[in-house]
Amino acid sequence: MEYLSTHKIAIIDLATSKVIDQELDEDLVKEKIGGAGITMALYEQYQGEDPVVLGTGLLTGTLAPASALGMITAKSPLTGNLCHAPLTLYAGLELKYSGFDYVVIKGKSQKPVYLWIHDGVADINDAKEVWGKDVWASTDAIRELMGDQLIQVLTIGKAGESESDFAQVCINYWASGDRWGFGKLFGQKKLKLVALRGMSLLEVSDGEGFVSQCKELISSLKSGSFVGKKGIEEIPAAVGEEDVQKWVSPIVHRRLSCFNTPFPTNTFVFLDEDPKLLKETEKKEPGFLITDIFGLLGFKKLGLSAADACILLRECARYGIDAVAVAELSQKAGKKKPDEIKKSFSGLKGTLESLGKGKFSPWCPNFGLSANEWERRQTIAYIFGIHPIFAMMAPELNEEKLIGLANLGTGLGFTSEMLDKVIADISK
Amino acid sequence: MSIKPNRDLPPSSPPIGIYTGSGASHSWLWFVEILDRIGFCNVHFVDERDILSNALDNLNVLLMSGGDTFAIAEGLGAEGSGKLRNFIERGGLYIGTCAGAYLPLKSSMDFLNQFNFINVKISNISRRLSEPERHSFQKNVCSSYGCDFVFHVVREDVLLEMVNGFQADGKKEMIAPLYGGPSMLPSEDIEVIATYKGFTKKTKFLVEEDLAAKILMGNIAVAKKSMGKGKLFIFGPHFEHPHYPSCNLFLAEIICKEQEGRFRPVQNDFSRDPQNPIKGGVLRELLKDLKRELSNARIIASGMNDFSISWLIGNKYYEPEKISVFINTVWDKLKALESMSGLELDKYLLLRCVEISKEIIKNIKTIKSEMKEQGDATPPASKLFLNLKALSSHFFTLYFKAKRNRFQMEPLGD
Repeated sequence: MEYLSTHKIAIIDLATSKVIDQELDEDLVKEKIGGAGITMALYEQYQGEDPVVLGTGLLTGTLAPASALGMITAKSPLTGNLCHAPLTLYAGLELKYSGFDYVVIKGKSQKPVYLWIHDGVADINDAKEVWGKDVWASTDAIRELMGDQLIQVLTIGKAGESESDFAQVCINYWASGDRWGFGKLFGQKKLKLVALRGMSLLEVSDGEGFVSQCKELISSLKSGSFVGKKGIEEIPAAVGEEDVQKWVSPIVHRRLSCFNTPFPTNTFVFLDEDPKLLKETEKKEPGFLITDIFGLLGFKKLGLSAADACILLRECARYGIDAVAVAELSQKAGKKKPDEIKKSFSGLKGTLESLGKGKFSPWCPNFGLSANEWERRQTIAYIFGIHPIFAMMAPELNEEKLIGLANLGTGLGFTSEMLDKVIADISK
Repeated sequence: MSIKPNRDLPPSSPPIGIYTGSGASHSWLWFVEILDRIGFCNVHFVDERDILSNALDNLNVLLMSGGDTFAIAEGLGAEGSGKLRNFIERGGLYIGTCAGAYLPLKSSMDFLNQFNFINVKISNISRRLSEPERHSFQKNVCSSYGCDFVFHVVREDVLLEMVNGFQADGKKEMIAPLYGGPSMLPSEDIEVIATYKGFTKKTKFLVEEDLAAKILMGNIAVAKKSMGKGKLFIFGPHFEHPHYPSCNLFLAEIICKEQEGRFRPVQNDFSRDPQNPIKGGVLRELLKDLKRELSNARIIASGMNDFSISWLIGNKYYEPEKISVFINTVWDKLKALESMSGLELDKYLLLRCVEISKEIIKNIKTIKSEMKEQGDATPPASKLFLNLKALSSHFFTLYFKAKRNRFQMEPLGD
């Protein structure tokens, strides 16, 4: 695969500690386009070996607006189905530039390991220095060890190590859209984390045309309905939760976008520092980045203050456990005090009503769309590597435009019929 | 050191040496880049020890790029100077840019006074300044020179005028990058090739523009001198910088023109290590080891590029972004090396590259740690740049040898 690709797939066998590099076959791209289309194909190819597949969309890491998305594709320990979880912030970007468009992690290691994927090299390293650490300490340790703060870390905390059903693969210090218990799979594989960094380059088939089309799309987005809004706290209004913004705004410090995404879907709150502070804080851990709206909503429904809710979100992220599951099961158990809830992380069990029913993580709100419409837009986002929330907010990024960009980028001649077929395959 | 003749190359490959020893900074990598682009593969890397061991006897051309002129002169010493003089007088071509241009100029300073091949004075020396002008320089653009100092007035692009019938890429005017090279005063000892004519939008002034113009305009940027059967070409600006193709072409033309009919057989390397060629799976694994360590090094180095710090090593300031220049140049060529068919490389030299890469990572971590603790990072930085030069010269020895091997394996076209 010559364009919009780093050409390679890493097949990593944790049981044998062997890594095989495979070429990304252009025929596979022609058939499955990219992203979830290909992660599913790879999952099926290795399904006898318990694979977890990391992947990027066809446009991930490019100038295409919101091209931030990577994904984890695996069988959910919670649903038993093949599911996809989003990798946002800079994780999708860094995976793409690490030199591998896709990474298949199969087998189980005998001892704790971590993967260091960089510049087309995938290393399996001993994780004895990080096993037992929480998510934050693990991220700090690996960045310190490798000497670079830009490394993106997909890591589990103690929830994953203890194989909790609700263990989450976190991104750096923060919660992710893994609502499928993929953290448990990491724990079962004795895989503590995957560290990603690379400085590869992507070739574009029609560079001028691609850039021109991206600029045109960005222009069209400037009149989108999201303009003037900011932060994750604006999103609940779209799902009928009008008062979240007012509730959380006193502790909001700033907002943060994922790679190349025109809307900041993440909000940083200050918990141990004045939210109005405009200079650099001297505190090492002044607050928390809210990346999951439903986790926040879950704790709000328990009647907690915004600060207490965010403190609990921080504790969930450090432990590597899905805050939505914690909030729902706490409510069922009648637990409403933060300390009490925190103590319940270890050994948390129960059945979730909020569990996703489809293949894509319910981390992304439906914005009032029907289930079918939501599913189709999510599928498109996961094929092309577009931020799933922004894909819902920006109808300007429609199928026709994305196919056009893919064609300019790869020169492969994708059609809407081909896309329909891939969507149908993914939805089976 | 033994050099065994192999087979003749076509007249595009004179044996060329690039000096990488004491005092050489990173700009010799630019020579590597343009020689590779031009297709010269009979390229060797020499340090002061090689020169003292008569390595110049096996070369037609010696390229001396930027760095610390005093350290180069001290490293070569009187004996090295003698070897260099013999090399030129017996027909060798010396091309010096920046520090490599200062080296052969007449000087009374210790070590430099052992050269004195060219009787030319420079305009960028403090004795030619008024007292107020002497105080208008930042210390990092000056080098001590006895009671005086040598200074630089601009960086980046300058406009040159080619004179005496010389042209570069068919042009009489050209833009070239100046990073501290000399501005020379007229002298009967040289033939002038180009003079400083003006500034451009990309010229970065280190002093007031009027003072910069006074120092540079009309003075000599490029000159040549015959010495015995050989010649010296000296360049104030870096004509070897790969972003200036007209300059590169001019250099290539000099090498081709001056070396016409004087090509020698392909040389083996100046390696002191035993040769142990490997290929196939064993080689691939070792190349992967090198790739792993180089990637780790470039990732850890990338985080330092924005640090506003420099280290004074010898008489030259080194900035953190130069670390990435070394590592990325090797990294880019590693990909080209991996893609060569029938590749066979020397195991020991490749292993040495892997070991040095690991050392480089340790050096960078030590620098970061010193900076965090507000300690002195100059000693580890000094070690780091030595290791970066060693890695690059070992690697490019392998690289050009692989290119020569490929050339010998493939049949020549008509």
